[in-house]
Amino acid sequence: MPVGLILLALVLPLINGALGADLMFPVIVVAIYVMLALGLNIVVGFAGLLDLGFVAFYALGAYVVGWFASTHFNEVSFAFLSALPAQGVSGRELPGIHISFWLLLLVAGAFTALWGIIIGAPTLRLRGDYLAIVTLGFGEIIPRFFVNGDNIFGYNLTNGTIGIKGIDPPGLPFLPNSLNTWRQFGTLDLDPWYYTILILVLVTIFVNIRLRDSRLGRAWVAVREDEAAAAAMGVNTTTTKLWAYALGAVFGGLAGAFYGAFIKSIFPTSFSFNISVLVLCMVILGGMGNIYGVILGAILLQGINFYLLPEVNGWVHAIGDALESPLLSNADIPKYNYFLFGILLVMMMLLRPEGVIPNRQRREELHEGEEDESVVEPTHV
Amino acid sequence: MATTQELKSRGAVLLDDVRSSSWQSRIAVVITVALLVLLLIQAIKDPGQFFSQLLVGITNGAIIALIALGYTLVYGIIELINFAHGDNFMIGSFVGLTVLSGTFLGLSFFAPITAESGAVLKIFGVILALVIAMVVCGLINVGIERVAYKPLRNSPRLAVLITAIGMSFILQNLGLIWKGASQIPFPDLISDDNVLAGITYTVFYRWKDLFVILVTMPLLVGLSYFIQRTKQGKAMRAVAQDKEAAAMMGINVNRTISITFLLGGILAGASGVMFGLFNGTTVFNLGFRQGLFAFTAAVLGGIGNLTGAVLGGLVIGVIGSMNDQYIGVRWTDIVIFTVLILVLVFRPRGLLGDRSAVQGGGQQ
Amino acid sequence: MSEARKEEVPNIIFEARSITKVFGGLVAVNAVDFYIPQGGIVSLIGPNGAGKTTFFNMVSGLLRPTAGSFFFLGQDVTRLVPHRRAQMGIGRTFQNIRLFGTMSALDNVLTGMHVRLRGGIVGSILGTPGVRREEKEARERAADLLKFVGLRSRETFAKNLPYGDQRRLEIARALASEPKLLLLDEPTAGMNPQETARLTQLIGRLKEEYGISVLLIEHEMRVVMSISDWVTVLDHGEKISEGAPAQVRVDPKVIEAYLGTAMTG
Repeated sequence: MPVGLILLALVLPLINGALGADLMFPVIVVAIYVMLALGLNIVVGFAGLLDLGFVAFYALGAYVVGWFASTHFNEVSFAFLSALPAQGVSGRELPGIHISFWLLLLVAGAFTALWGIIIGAPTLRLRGDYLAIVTLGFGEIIPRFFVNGDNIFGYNLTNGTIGIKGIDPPGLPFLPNSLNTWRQFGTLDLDPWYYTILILVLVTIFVNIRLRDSRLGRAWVAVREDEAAAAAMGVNTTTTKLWAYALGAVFGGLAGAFYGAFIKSIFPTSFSFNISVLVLCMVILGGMGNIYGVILGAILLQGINFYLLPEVNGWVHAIGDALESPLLSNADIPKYNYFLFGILLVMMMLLRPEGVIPNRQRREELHEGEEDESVVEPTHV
Repeated sequence: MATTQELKSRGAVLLDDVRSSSWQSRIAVVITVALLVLLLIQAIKDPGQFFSQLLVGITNGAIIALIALGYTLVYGIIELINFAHGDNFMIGSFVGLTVLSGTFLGLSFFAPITAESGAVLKIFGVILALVIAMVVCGLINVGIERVAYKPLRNSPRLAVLITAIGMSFILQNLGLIWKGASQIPFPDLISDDNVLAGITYTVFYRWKDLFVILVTMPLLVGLSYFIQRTKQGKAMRAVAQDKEAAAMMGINVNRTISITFLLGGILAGASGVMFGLFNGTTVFNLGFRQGLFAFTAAVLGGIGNLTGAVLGGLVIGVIGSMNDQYIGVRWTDIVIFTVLILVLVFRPRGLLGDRSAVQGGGQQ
Repeated sequence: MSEARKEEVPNIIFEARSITKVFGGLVAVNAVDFYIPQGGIVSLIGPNGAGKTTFFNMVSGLLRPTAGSFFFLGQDVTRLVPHRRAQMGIGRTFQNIRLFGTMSALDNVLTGMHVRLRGGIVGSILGTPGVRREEKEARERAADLLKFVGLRSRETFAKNLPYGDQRRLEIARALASEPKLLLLDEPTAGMNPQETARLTQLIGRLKEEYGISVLLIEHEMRVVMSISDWVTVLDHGEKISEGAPAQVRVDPKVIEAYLGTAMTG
């Protein structure tokens, strides 16, 4: 079954071409979110640490590409394996730092892993809900820092709300001229972008599966279930949790780096708390800890964003026109997508906390104490 | 033991305290003292500006404190960070705005109350707005608890927190559907004139500030009376201490929890209307930022501790206004979120100590 | 008495020197000296609230003593965190069973092996032959351990196992970390007589087959008297008696502490 899905994914651009559909852009965005959701799944699903600031890593990954593959630092001129021609049109050297996207992926991964540890370290001793709020705090501080970063003691580090624009496209410059769109990824042909994110997603899935079944994966579950018992069994709870933060952050960072290159302009406002909650929603909808469930969650929610809500918008407008109600015919339904996601979160927690495709373990945990009709919480010793 | 302790001079006790304190608290004290010294320098340089700003901070702090009380009441009783509370506050400001407009669901009840209205009408409008917002927010809070939190009372704590986040988004989007995405102006009902005119011209204290304090004080006194003196208030304290024991003593735990949410909602409603009247504007996503500020205040004071919430609110309000003045408005959010993180990480019991610490369940 | 015993048994695996634990104003454990000989089964008994479990939690590192120090294999371990002690070879079970409820029995045992496995993150992701071999061997060993404690179901979630099986699984999980010293906190609590007898036999085999030293907290005096080499009695946080089982059971101080009730068995 996964083989069939992978084959389908490989020929998707052909199908898209044959149908003459505009699938590629939404599919790429969905794939970015699949990566984000799988990254968050390591932290929330595997290790049981509720991270409400995951967007921070997405932002940091995007800014790594923004800084090192654009004209932003125009006081220097440095290029390394970039897909762009070494000289600009005028024959002068391009201002700014231009490093190969492929290298920047590694840099973004390492950079966000480091930030995962920086953000994770203070939370190690905290209870679950306090931990969530601390991660939320970091998740809010980092984008705000990008907003204010245009004037750090007079230095323009982030270009503030204007954001970083004109990010270099990735490319494989050593290819023959006939493969033009692959030598430097263009805006018209999205296939190279698609295959890049497809590979990234497949690697993410593979790593997730391997980690889940590894010694570290068992330690994550052990810490999630009973920290003291895990410690008494020899699990170093500190490093176990830090690894979850770091590895989760890596995928958030990689997704951000790809997003930055793909979308070409990044703004601090693109990295709001909403994104953290959207990704959390995907993890919960699909089933915390279940890799395929989480992927399905990401596809479903972005499907709602891209297809269902515009569709519903059309219906509402039609009804509004029929009833001659300006309120309905002018309604902007897609604007209220987070209304739906909020309802989804509440409904999932009330009715099916284990998600659409539950992780066997998580279902047992979440339904614990349900038979218990007493008003008292189960006391945890 | 006790007598020797009493005999010890104050200085020696202090020295002992310092010796037994952790390096974190020493650093915290040093930083706080340094910041206070810097503020003092500013205060001496331009006392008028400093005291005006301090008073603004206290007013903002009062608004934050009322929201913080809602967080602290709910956390004290069911150990839930009611994430939707800030958004309930936003709904409160929207309700107030609607009451003042005199029109609801296309029905016009009375002419809008604006800056041009007469004094009696203004007072009537403000009181009506406050009362209706308090009732509506109280009921919303009770409803949320019944629908979304009560069924999960035996679930893992994080499941309820996630539900609360969901509720927060629902309320926020209800606000968005109701009033749209842009900032909405509040009618300017209370004078911007200086209360202290005639006494001093350098320190500015507007009637608006005084209004906030005049509304906040009776609410706090009332809350304190309710919790200390009434039967229901005593039931709340009992349930907060030990639900099982309280239930065995014949206390209706479910009703007590509902009343706790009702109180939190009432205070948030009042706070929402005051925020609107004081700042002259409101917006659908106001609750997220204000809610986080208030939660910071609740944790800073010691979550579950009512006095702590008020103290924390005032401190956060003053930190905010001082930061606005001397560092820059754009850094205020970052500064306060940093306070939130530092308190949670280094002193989760807060300044006055939290309820769970009293119970001995602070760590695990 | 204790000095004399030290001379008899030169190989001490674990030693506690005047361990004290104070909670608030309450002295839970008061200046207890204590040691365990290599390969010995030592029981810690005493009435409820005597401080046994507190002492236990200090030995495994979940609690820090207020004063005093612990030596394990001649090394001061007083300040070591729990997982470091597990690494050195102190394994334990819990009085109120603390298995990883939603992990299979086998995975519980594999988690116990955590400190003995080397598989790193990169190796696990790449699936290097070394890591694969190690995992395969670990699974076999875990299956053997389950067999050793007499557990059939490997894939069942720990929390769905019958009570006695959960107790045995906890022992298997503790054994998986290859302890040199195993701490058993009331392992027969809630067991019926047959189960208790089987478990007693199992504890005896630990010593014989694995050469593991055992520190046992137990209420069931029949178990204590039948398998212990040495018994230490705590009451109100103080050591009131110690000696060979036969000696302790006739000690008037012990009988007084128990009011004669439990000692008749």
